[in-house]
Amino acid sequence: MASIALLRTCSRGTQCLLLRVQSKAGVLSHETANKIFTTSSTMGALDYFRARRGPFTPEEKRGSGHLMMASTHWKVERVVAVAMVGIMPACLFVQGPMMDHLLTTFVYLHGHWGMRGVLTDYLVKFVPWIQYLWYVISILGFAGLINFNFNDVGITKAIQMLWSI
Amino acid sequence: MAALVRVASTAYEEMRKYWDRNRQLQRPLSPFLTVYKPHLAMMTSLTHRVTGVAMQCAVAGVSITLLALPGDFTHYLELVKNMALGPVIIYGFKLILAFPVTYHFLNGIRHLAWDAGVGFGLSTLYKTGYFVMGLTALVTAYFVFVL
Repeated sequence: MASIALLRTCSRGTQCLLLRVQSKAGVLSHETANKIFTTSSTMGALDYFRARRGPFTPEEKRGSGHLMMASTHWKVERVVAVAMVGIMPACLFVQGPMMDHLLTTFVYLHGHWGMRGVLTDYLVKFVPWIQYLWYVISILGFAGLINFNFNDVGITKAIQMLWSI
Repeated sequence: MAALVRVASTAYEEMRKYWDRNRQLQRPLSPFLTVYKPHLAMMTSLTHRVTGVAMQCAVAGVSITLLALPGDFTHYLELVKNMALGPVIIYGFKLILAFPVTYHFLNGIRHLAWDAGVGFGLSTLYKTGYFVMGLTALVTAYFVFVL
């Protein structure tokens, strides 16, 4: 509750310093652009943690440099999620290196995207760098899982061992 | 002869008016959580998110920790075994591990159904919600006490 109150407080006010996605020239008139992105220099540090509020241009919503359309990504996410409905129960019956890699890849991809969605919903508008930190954490974590499957007992065996305590 | 004035209005212009008005009236941001009375759909969805975030943080955290630590999994498992923890603590930890996975899995199927456009009726929503809660309790109990 406290964090929600804090975030709400931070988001009050019209000013914002989150200039991560600068609008493309020609999309907005100069006047409009200034109106949206105006910031005061005195409250700079506080403004940094204020939420960027709308409206967002279609270009800003789409972002730049993506490999696929958002809708395609959404479909890929669902394919992974649907596959997990089969993979996770299968792990109860079949264990081994193939299952280890299948489970870690699907669960980790799903978790990475899910967490990225949560960060985008709640935190990116306050602290935009958190999404890059999340990529670093995700890559390290996945490296750890691959290492665990190749050089240690493997995830399915590990869960079995843990559960037999 | 009065000429018709056509107001060219794009979706973006409409949004800008809306946001300008919100600023002018000093309205708070939209998820106005404190004014809602908690209800089932809200709580199942919230639990789904919380369990998902907790699990991903746990998976990434444990994975990075094991990557950094010098010993292997068997070594640390032996350490835990040698602590000779009582059944209450062991069942407790198994419950903490099994509940989020089970709940997120079962409620995730519900979410996938919604993504496919099925199950939005209010009575259906409540039925599936209670069904998932009950099934989660059963399956979690099975994982903790039977497996």
